[in-house]
Amino acid sequence: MAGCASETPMKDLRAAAKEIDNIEERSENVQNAEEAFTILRDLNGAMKDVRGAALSLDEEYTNMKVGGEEFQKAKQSEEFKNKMSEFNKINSDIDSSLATISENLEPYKEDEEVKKMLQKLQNLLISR
Amino acid sequence: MAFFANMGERFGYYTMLAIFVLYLQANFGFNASQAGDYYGGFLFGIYFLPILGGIVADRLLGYGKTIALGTIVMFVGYMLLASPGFFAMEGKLIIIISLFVISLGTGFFKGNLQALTGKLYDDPKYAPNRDNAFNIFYMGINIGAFFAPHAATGVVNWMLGGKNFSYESTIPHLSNLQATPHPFLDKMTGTLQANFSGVQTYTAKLQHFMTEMNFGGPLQEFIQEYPTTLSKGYSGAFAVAAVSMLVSLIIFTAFRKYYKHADVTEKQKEQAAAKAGKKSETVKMSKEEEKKRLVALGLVFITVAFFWMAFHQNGFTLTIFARDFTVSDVSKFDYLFFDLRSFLPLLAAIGGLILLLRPKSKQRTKLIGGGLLVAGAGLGYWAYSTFSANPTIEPQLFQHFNPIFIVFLTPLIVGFFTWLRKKGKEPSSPRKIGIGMFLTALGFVVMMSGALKLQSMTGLSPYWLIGTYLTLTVAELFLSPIGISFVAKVAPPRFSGLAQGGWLGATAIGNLLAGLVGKLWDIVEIWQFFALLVGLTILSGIFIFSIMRILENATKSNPEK
Repeated sequence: MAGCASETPMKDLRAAAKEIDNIEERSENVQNAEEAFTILRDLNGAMKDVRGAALSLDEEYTNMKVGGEEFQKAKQSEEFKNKMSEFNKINSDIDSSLATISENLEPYKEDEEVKKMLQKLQNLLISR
Repeated sequence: MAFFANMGERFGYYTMLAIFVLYLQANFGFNASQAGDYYGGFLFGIYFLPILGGIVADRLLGYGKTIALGTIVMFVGYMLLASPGFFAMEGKLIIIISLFVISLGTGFFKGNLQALTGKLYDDPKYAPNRDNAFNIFYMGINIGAFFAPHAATGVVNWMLGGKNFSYESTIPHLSNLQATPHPFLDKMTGTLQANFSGVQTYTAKLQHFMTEMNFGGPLQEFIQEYPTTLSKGYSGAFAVAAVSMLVSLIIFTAFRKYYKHADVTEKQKEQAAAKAGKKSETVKMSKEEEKKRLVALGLVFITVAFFWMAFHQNGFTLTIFARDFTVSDVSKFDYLFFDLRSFLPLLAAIGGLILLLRPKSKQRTKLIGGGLLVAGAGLGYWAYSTFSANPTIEPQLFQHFNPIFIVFLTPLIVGFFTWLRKKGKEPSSPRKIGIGMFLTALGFVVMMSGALKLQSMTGLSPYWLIGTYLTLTVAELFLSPIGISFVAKVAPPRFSGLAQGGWLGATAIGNLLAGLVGKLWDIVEIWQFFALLVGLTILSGIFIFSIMRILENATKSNPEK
């Protein structure tokens, strides 16, 4: 049953990537700061899901030490390599969507509300 | 006596509760969901075990002894909870045992104190004051609840201050991320950083905190020392909770002469009569009458469960709303309501102004009012002058509005009901409960309107939440103390303790429903979530008015009380 435990986070990750892909498409037609704000708000929600999935995938390593022997061994396992490979594939799709979204929103990044939403995205990793 | 004993117990309970989830996250690295499981289970025990406490009092020990036993058991529980931080005991088992012991003690204490308070008003001479008495009893709970988070914060800050640290709620979480491997999160961090400038990482944020607190050692040392010190601070706060149980016990025991006459269960009355060879003085209630009353209580319990489901969103989704959708950078004026040093004087000044302007006030009362107004305004202005130019508010600060509104609104509501009674227009207890349900709906209408505005903004003004807390507090005052009073009035005498336990049991079910409904938060739009609460509370209000005749008949057929 190896790998089964990670099926749900991977599924969540795929769903979030699909959502980000949709947001990317919508970002092509942004006409004003209000629409840019909505795009960023939705992106923030989707990235929270990505963070949740990543943290779930990380969970089985959180009893180990950074750089410890146990973690090094785990990293060499087939299961880890498979998961990481799938993660990288999805992550690379997310990466390309984020690049497009960021570029499409560039003209609106100085708007006050857009700026605040961007700040939320910047703090996503350090907020609970 | 009941007011102060209750205040002491609730002060301890809320001191513990204010930091409990933070403690679990700091000590065990729990995520919100894991901490939520412990929190939910504990709350369920706190409100469900009073059913057991009621049976123990009604059948075995009587109210007074069960209440005293409860405070001792709670003291042991809080001490156990405080022990890991001081004696370096490991493991979650001690936490689970502590929580069970505290719940059990609360089960013995809480419902029976309510039953005993109700018995004090069984005398027909005092019976009309029962609703108002429970309003004042309820105020005791909230004075305890209001000061508790500040006491907990004070103890924690004192411990941290000993090592030149200051409180930052995110450090334990960030330390946990730093200390253990997160290969997938690290990949995601890289992707986010590559596309958006200024993305904060946990390592950078921890280093920022180290600099801010002038910590000279390496990061590794900081992420070990800070959580350990914080954990000791939490344990210190749990010890404060234990001490307040002792204070509660002392008050309850020392003032026994004031409630001794009411501290007799129906079973004890029968036993005493049998021993003396006399006819029992207990009122025999027919099975049919008992059934009618128990049905009325059951119907109220169902409705009340829905109230608590909606109301207890305050510690859950309303706090998430405060964190994620309410602006945290406020003006100095807004901050007046979030800092105790300014908020309390402000309330005192308002109270003083009311006393000063009230036409019925005598000269002396006007003088006191004037004094309060001047002192309150002066202290408030002093606090205002110490605020930074751009103060920020923490989401948990919204929690102090409900207890403080209770304390200041109780005299107004009690006065309002007394005024209505004098005019012969006071609504019956079940009607007050029904009105309370509609007021709850109104509170969530405010949130729903705010959530609709969020379609085009990042965060709302804090006044949206303050307005909601104000409305929900008025609803609570119409519903909760009145409900306890209703239970005391309607419960068949031989089930007094059990019936109060049942009331708290309904609260337990409401708490469980609060968690279940709260799970929709991430699934539906925010305005839809609040619309659902509006709908459910309106339906409950309609339900209670549709069975009003049954409920009012149960209150009226009360010959023995």
